[in-house]
Amino acid sequence: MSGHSFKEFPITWGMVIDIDKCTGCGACMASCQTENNVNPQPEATNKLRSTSWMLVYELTNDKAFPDHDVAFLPRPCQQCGNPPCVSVCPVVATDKNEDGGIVSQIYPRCIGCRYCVAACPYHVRYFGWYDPIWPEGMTKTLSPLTSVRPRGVVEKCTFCHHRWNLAKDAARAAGKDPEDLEDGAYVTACVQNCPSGALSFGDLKNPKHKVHELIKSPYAFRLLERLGTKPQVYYISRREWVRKLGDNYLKSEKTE
Amino acid sequence: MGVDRRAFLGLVAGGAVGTMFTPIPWKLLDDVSIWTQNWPWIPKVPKGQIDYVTTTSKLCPAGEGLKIMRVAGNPITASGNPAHPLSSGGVSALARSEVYMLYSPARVKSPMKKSGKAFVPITWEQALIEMADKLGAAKGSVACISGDQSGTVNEVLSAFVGKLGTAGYFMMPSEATTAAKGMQVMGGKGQAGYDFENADTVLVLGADIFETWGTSTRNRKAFSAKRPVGVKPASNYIYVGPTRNNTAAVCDQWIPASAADLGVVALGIAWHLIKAGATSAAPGFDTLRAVVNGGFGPDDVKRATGIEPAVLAGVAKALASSKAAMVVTGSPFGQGLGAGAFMAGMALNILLGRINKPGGVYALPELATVVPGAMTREAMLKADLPGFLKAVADGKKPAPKALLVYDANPAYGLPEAATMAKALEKIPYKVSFSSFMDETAAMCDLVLPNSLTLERYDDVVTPYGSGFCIYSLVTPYQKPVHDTRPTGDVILALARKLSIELKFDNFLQVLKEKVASLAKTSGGFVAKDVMPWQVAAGKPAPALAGGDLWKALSAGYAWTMVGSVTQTGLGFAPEVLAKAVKPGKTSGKTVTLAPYAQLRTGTPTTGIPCQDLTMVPDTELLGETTMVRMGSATAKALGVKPGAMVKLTGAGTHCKAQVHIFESVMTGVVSAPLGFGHTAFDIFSKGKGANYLALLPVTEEPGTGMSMWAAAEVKIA
Amino acid sequence: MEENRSNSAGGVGGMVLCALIGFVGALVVGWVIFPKLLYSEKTQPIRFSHTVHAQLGIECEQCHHLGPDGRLAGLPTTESCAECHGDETGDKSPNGKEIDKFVKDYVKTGAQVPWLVYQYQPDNVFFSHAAHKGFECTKCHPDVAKMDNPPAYYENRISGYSKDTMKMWQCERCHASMGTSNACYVCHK
Repeated sequence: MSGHSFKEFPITWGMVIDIDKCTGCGACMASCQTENNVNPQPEATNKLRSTSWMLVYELTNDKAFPDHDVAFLPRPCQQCGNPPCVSVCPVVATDKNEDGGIVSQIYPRCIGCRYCVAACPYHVRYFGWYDPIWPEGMTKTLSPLTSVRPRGVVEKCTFCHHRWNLAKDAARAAGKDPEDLEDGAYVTACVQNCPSGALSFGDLKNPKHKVHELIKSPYAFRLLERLGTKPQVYYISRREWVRKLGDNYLKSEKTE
Repeated sequence: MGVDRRAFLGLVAGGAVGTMFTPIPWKLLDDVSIWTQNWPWIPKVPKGQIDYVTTTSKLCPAGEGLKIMRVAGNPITASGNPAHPLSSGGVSALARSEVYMLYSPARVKSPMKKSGKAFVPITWEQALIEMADKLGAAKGSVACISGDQSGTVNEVLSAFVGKLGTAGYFMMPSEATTAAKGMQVMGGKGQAGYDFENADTVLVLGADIFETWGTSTRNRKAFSAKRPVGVKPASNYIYVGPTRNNTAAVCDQWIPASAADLGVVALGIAWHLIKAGATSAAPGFDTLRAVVNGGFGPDDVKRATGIEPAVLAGVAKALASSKAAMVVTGSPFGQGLGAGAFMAGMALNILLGRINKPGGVYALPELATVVPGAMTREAMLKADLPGFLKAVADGKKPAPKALLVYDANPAYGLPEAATMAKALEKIPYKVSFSSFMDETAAMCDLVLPNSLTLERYDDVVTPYGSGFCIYSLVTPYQKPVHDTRPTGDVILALARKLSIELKFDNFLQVLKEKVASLAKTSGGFVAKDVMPWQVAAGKPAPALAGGDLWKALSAGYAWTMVGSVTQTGLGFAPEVLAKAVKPGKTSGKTVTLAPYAQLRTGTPTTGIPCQDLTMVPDTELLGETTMVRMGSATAKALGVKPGAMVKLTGAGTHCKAQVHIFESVMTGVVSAPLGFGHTAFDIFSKGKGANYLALLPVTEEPGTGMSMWAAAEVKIA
Repeated sequence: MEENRSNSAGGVGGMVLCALIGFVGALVVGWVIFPKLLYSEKTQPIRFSHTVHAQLGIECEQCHHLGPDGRLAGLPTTESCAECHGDETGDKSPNGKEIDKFVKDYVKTGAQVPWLVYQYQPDNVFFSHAAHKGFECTKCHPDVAKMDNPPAYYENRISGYSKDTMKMWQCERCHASMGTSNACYVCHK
């Protein structure tokens, strides 16, 4: 193998995030935490030790008042087409091998070496520094759709992969083709619950899905695109300074 | 033959080789590796059939309908209900917490009685006997504070307190109280409702419409619908306020102005509108014109607020040329704004002809009360709680003999906290119906825990901000986790003990009667295929299906009605405006405190929902220190460095904070997060940062006499 | 020398014999005794007879049905069992006594029966019954329809799982033979 070469998938799940609509409320993060059994963390202000598969960053244009501007950037796993985290895993606990192009992360196989954490340019991978503890009784609200990770393994956003499985099951039950889901049949928890409609989700390759068109917008961009990681998460902003923050642009470069 | 060394070695070697041909090493290796994946302290996920049920959020003031995922009948997660007009599938970080908050460590697990400084658990029967006794003795002087802005339970509480002899029924101050006062002064009727769905140009004066103000989830859904991803937006939002907050961050324009100056900005815009020929038949127009021309010309406004005349001229033009313009006024943190600014904003709506029009402001009628002797919402919103408590603290008014606190946390959630605590301490007998051990409950003699949303029947009636009348039902889906009871039922039981006739035996009957009365209200319909904003825009309202309304409501649909109260005297009240709208003062040594609120830090009654703590950025809370935001010019003028620990002093108290330089705060303003600094609740709330609300002194608004505290000077050292 | 040689020869022979004994002994321990030690035998809380129900003409899917969302409902709840067995029978036959035990311990208390499931997978496994609908149930599950007594449940003392819990290699082998993907997320969550 020449390093790692990743195949193309006929279904490529992708997210499109309209930064101009995100108010930074955190509903996506809240939805993610409980959907994916991330435990409540009393010391969550230590961002190096806490876990948030979905994380909203605050962006600014670095100008002084009153020319200053703010934007919010929700950041799930970018589900790279060419994921830097996969090739460094010594035990194949993470892989990009399934239709849909979602980068998998298998907790029981993970040995906690954190090579992937170091390799990921987007900081989407989280190491479990602490045992997952819930307040008494709250484990009754755990979701059966995601397993609970023990301390010492790496975890990350899965695009709520279990929801794809559910959608496929629902399609089978309805006598439909599970490989050709309708737009909206499978969306992640963050996308579903976003009150601002800033997040969209679908098959980037399926012309019947809205995101297929959205990524063609002149305002669409991906994070650190020039690294060649080919993320499946696209961002849209009509503000050029936001787009410029997406990669290490020269001052004179245009992004549109 | 004895076993010699060789034979023994042979046995061992044979045994070792033989073992290799058995499952022992391989199976053990496999099992041990599995064993290491299943530590007993790692919780197992539940198994069972998945289903979905619907209810409405009571923890979140936005009142969104919820879809609850259950496994084997147990609630697991809360999502937005796509069929509900106040959710359309969206959910706030707070409403998302409805399920796990059932198991919050801060929950009060049974009735508790204060004994010395601690609480001891007692039975419900004991609690009721004691309470009946004490309230009977306090007859004629029982006050009630309610933090539930939208529930029919207020009817039960107000009727009960009324029949006991009331010393006042108070709502926790909010946008609704400000708006009610403003409408009353202007001679209007009904609750101000905002049709975001049909508006195309929205001027937002201060109100944090996309975070905490009113029906914030629905506001954002409406905003989103007019702004499809990747194309030119079909709406224009202009935000006026002290910081580029969560709302301003997505608006098309931000005009920096202190919360104290919002009324000035509004009247400044009125000047431009009137100059361009705007006129109105509403009472007081001529005087208004004189007031506006007299003191709110472009130069006056620039002097007071620093806003360039061209900016306001632009706003006026955008509003006047729009098909559906709307002005929304509110406090940047959801409370404390005087009625003056609200009235100035409404004056713009009247000038623009936007009252009771699609995409404008509707004066929504109130739904009929069903409990005999109950107060109307309009009457409840009239009382001024901070003003009352301040008078009690100062000895200007007698303290009530008893106080009932429902779904409210006045000891934490009011300004000038020291004064409010003093007043509360003067009340000899206090009962809290809080679900959580909050600051107020900790001060009470008796805590009678209310069951949470998923454990009780309740309702949400037209939350403030909604552009239409709406009624949705809260349905219980599990037995109370702890020994709690719905407060409506407790009050009705108590009324029986005190021989007070409230007509109903339990709260479910009250709700059934309420729903029955809705079915008779003309113009109402169940929002299914047709949404109320479509009806406002001209689509015919479907008839209320002859079937069972209760059943439709139980299935998660909402009853809605588009309509407005006929206005007889809505006018500009220019004399009051002239007194109430004054530019804020600024002196050199102090800065203006501009608090901001976010639903992810909960409400005063919920504390910080434990999962939501992870959402708080480390530029807001780091360890146990909260950060205040200011621009570099402000920091320089104050002589404080980025990251410095400072002390903010105001209203006779002080709070600690770390300085975070953030340029989207007006110069001369320091912006501080609310929702922190709890001294009660659990490890997720207690001791996290400071409560900056305490720094705001309560002042009386000239002209309206209303308490206000939206902006105040603080000292920073 | 001779003696030495014969001694050494006999020693080698003895050693081989002992090695053989050791080898066979290990096999016996490994294949017979070890499994008995490794698993603890458990019986179902209620002696449910699938045969009786099957003979009444009840199809498997009536109790173990796929929901409208394509998810297997799993085991019937106490409430659904109570639709037929809501009251004690007073019947003194072994079956009647078992029914009364069920009614007394579960229907009356509203508790769910802690059935021991032979096939439960770890939390990190996602299994779709809808996707495997084309197979006979008995391809993976014991053919309980023909059993009057539920078979004994063997719990692995180390891992805590049932002896019958399918291993990953079994899933993978069948997927490979069917040409189905063996990518991680096909089965893991």
